[in-house]
Parts: sequence; structure tokens; C-alpha cells
Amino acid sequence: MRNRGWIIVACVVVVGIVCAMLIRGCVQRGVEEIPMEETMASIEEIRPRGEIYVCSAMMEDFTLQRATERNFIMPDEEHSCVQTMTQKCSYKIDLDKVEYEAVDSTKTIYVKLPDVEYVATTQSTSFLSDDGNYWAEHLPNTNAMKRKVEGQIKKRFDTPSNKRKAERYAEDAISEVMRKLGYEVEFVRKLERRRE
Amino acid sequence: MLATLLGVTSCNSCGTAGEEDVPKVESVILSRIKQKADLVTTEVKVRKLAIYDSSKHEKFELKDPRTWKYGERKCIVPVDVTIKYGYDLRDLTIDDVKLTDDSTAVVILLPEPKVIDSGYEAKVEEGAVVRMSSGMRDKISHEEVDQLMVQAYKAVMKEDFSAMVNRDIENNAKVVFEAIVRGIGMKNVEVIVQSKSLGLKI
Repeated sequence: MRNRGWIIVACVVVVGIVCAMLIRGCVQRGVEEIPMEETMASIEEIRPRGEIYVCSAMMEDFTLQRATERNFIMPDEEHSCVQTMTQKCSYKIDLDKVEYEAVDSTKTIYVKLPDVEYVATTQSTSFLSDDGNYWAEHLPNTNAMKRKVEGQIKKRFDTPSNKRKAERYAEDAISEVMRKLGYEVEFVRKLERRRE
Repeated sequence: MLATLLGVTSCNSCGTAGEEDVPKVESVILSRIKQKADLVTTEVKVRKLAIYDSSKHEKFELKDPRTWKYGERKCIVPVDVTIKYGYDLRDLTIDDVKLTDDSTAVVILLPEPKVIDSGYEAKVEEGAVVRMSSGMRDKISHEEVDQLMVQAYKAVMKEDFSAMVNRDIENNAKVVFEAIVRGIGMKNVEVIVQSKSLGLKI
């Protein structure tokens, strides 16, 4: 009778282990690196450009979002997720907007530069969460979070001091080109006023 | 038992996803601001479909419970990559810009073109992403969509498109230099651009 009891306990343990293995095997959790199929990349568009990138830096930031999952009887569950983003931030000038006025007698060229423009390109993004299924169901997409991180990065990089630095670099870049064309450069705020 | 079941199945949709105030953390600067003088002449837009199909990578093995996954998962994400090509103007020396003896042409010897900037559009409309999961498998998560996009971007950058658009990069450089030369008043001067590696040929 006692032996029979032990056999039942052993059976229950074995069945429990098998069930645990089955559940673990069948349900996939976690965020392992998923393999991507080989596909062709296609060129959609080729556009001419005329701009000079004068400086750049890599920046990274994140934003956090939390949510409470309310259950009728079970205690409420807290969920959180983080969206990270790495961007290459740069300043550029549009060459179409640069104005020149050459004085051949002195081999001097007066240049009015346009404002430097902030540009950022995304290098990588990563979404981390405590429950992928919950966020897949309750957050239709991560676009709003990504926009928020982009805003944070822009706020950090696009400062008046960085802009001034970029303006100096833009002057250096244009001077470099003009010197190679045989001209000395003077930067002015308004070409009209100089003519007067 | 009923209470537990009710508790578990009660209301997933009752959850409210909301933002919360988080302590202010400033962006991490991964590299110092580098001074550049990179002329961009050509922008190339590339599209790649990032496809994940679990059935092609997972094989059932009786000995390995991790492979006893019932169901399949598939995901397709279109990734738009922008690559800007051009030249580092600091590679252009004073000897690389020559005015012909009769002053009718400026010859510019250009260095090898390079990628000046690149990146991908991280925000994708929900309707453009295909997510499928069957059986007991998890939904395709935002984590995985982001992973696929990064992999697609890296794959595009590994491919060398510069050879395919080399002609455009050089022709567009000619247009840019022509605009500069005209802008500074050299109206009747022809602009000739040549690759520095080929040497000066007039």
C-alpha cells in the first residue's frame, strides 16, 4: 500500500516534468535574434543633390512607456517598454542657396551662406519590453515613441552653440573650395548692402 | 479554479498603455562632433523587404523539446534606406583643380566617391507590416520588427551600390561644380570632371 503511494507520487512528478518540458518547448518567449531571409534590395530612386555636410556626431537616446493591465480578480499587472534609437546627426548647407559675388580685380569672392540645416539619419532602433505579446496587442506601432526619441536627440544636438560651430565649419568648407578655384573668400550677411 | 480562470482571462483589453513621467535622461553622445567638408551629389533610395519565416529555420527533433513548437511565425517589413554619395572635399588638393591655358575650361580631378550619409526610416505604417503567428506561438513583437529592420539596413549597406550609380555621382558632381563656377561669374568656362585615379586627360 505504501509502495503504491510512492509510485503515484513518482508518476505525478514525471508527468509534471514532461508537461513543463512540453509547455516550455511549445510556447516561445524571449527575444532571440531572428534570422532574416535573403531578399533582393531594389533601387527605387536616384536623385541629384548639391549639399555640403559640415559636421556630424552619433547620438543615442530612449523613451520609456508604462501601462497597467487591469484584471477583474487577479491583481493588476504593470508593464513597461523602452524604445532606444541611435542616430547620426549632422549639419549641412544647401549649395543652391549659397550666393556669390566675385571681384576679379582682387580675386576676392563675397559669399552669403544660407543657414545650416540639421539632419539626422537612423542607424539602429531597439524596442525592449517585459511582455512582447502584451505590447504587440496594446501598442499598434512604435512610431510615436520613435518620434519622441528623435525629438530628444534633436534637442540635444541642435543647440545654438553647435549651430555656431557648424557655421564656422561651413565657412571653412566653402573657403576650401574657393581657394582651390583661385579666390580668397569673404563672408557677408547681405550681398546687396556690400554692393552699395 | 473559476476565480483563477476569470482572473487570467478577465480583461486583457482593460489594460491601458500610457506614458509616464520618467526621470530626465539626456541623450548619450556616442562620438564627438567631427568637422567635415563632404560634398553630396547623389541620393539613392533603396527598398528591401525584411522577411522572417520561422518554418524555414526551425526543425522538429524528438530529442529536443525546444523544437516542439506548435505553429509558425512570419513577418514582412519593408525597409526604406537612403544613401547619400559624394566626395570628401578635403581629399581635393589645389593641384586637382586646373584652369586650361586658354581659360576656357576648368578641369577638376575628383577623388573616389564614398558614402557620406546613410540611414533608414524607422517609422513604418502599421498597415505596411505583415505579422502572422499560428498555433501556440507568440505574436510578432515590436522587438522583432525592429531587429528585422536593423538587419535589413545592415544588409543593404553591405551591398555595394556605388558601382551601379558611379556615373550618376560623377555627372551630378559636374552639375554642382558648374553651378558654383557660374555662380562666381565664370560664365563661358566649361567644367570637366574626371576621376583622380584615371589622371588628367584634356
